[in-house]
Amino acid sequence: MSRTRPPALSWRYALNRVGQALLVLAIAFTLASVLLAILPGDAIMARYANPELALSPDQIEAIRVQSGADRGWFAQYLTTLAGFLTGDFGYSVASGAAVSDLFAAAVPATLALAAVGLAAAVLAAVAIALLATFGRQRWLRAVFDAVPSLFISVPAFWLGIVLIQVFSFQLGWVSVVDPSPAEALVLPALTLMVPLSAPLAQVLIRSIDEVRAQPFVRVTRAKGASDGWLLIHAIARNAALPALTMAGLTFGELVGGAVVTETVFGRTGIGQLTSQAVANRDNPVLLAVVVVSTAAFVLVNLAIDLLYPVIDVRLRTSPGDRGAPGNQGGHSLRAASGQADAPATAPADRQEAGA
Amino acid sequence: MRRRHIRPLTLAAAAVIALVIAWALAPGLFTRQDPNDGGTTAALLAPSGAHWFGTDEIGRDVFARMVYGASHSLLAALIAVGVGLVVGTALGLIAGSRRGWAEDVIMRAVDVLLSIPALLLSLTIVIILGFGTVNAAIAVGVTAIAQFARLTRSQVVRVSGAPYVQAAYGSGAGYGSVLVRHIVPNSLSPVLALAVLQIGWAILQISTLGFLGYGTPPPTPEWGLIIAEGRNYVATSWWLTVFPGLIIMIVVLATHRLGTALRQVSA
Repeated sequence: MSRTRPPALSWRYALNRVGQALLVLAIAFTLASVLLAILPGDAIMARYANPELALSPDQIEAIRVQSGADRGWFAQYLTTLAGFLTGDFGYSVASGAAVSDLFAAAVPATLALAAVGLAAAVLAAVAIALLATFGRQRWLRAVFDAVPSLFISVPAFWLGIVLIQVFSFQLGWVSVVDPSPAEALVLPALTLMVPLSAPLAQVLIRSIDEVRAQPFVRVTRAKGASDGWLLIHAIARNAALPALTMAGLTFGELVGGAVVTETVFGRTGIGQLTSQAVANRDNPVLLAVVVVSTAAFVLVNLAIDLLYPVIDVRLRTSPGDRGAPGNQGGHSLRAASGQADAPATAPADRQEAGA
Repeated sequence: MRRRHIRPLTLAAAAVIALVIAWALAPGLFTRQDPNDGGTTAALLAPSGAHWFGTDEIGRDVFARMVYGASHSLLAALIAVGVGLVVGTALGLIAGSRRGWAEDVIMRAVDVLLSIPALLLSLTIVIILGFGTVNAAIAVGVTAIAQFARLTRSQVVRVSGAPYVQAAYGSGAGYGSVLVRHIVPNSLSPVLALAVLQIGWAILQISTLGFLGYGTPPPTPEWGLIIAEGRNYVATSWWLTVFPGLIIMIVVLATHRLGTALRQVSA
């Protein structure tokens, strides 16, 4: 294996990785659709007869035929699959609306919240990690070293309520009644930031500590490099990779966080759509949320895995050529979770960061 | 530098956990108030010597509700971690010791579990099983399976390669007896440390489901539900949400601290 030229190997790695991602997606889709659509199929169809929906018998029959509820489970599965591949997610049981329309209405608000929340989380994580590792006083470092485990222990729904209490009712800084779109985004983004920044900060702290202990850092320092120079030239590059991996893995937290945050703040979005779907036992909507979020999670992490060798030259040879590619730099996370467990697929432990 | 600070904090964490377990086992020792009946007590009283955390909209003592709620939250967390521990460890054990296609199938299934966002996976289970304390706990437990399976598998693989395991095979022991006598006992301590660590996480997840209204139904004093009920009075009665949230946070923090300490010992 080690005789083959590296470019060929890296193509094989990419194809292998894409294949695994597709397999995981296919299984996840099958599992979710069997659990949420096919097994309880008749129960779902029965609810379309709800008079509140005001669907005519013809419309109900059309839904029956379209969703394939009058056919065998495998035919239903294929219909659902074909629908998802073409962007047709079926119909909400609660409102009768097309799920894809509900999605289209909800996605922009959630994307705005997620983007601002994630950006805030990255900034907060970097600030916490720098203070915990380069802080001038020992007590300062100790305090910020403890911040990630504090952040991860905060119930996000409670944090949102407390923020409303303090900033809207006590201080009156953020209006509750008819705020501007930007103003309405501040507190939800902060709520989302806290649980997201914790694992990122933890990974950054760990890898900065590890990189700083490397011999090459001591040599550079001995040659007269300052903290700032080291930070930019040696540490940032090495610590960025595990942080990027962790950022991909926190995508799941982002979705969960959106559900909680949007419910607490009464924001429209995918999260609120999800919590309403569960409250109304609206399986088709939940199925679409699960499938779309899982696809997004898998694709984001696939992209990060494929980007790895582009960012880090040392990884351009195949993982098989060298035991653990992380051992000389900052890839401890990957070495610890990815390499030791399932090769290449590596969505590392969800709670790894919670430790 | 970091180790030196651990011990007193770990002791404090252990004390917090012990107190909450005592709340769960004998709530009557800690409060004389009824958690579900406010009686003639005035509604929405601010915290005082008589009502440490104040009273809610129908005069119920919030501290008493938290004390009595401990049993629901802890029991649910134990069920959740139990599901994750038992199923995950069994899968990890099979994957790690059988290798071959069984390992491939199990580890692919674990990848699938990890790729569905945790809360959505819980919600999927909840929508299938229905709302309630035990169902919410099982739903949270399912999301923990993957992690236990991964850790157990990597431990089993590590231990299986150890010289003493090879020696046991060499001296004529069968596969089953090596598994039971050597591999399981030597793989398990990090897995148990993870279980402790997961209890705090499970308490958080279960209170989230309770807050969203999918867990224990009212008027049971489940911790997440208490905060959900206090939320309507957020403008006037801050104590209805602030104190219960702080309690949850402290308990979760304490289990994290304890789990981390155990993990360092077991590693």
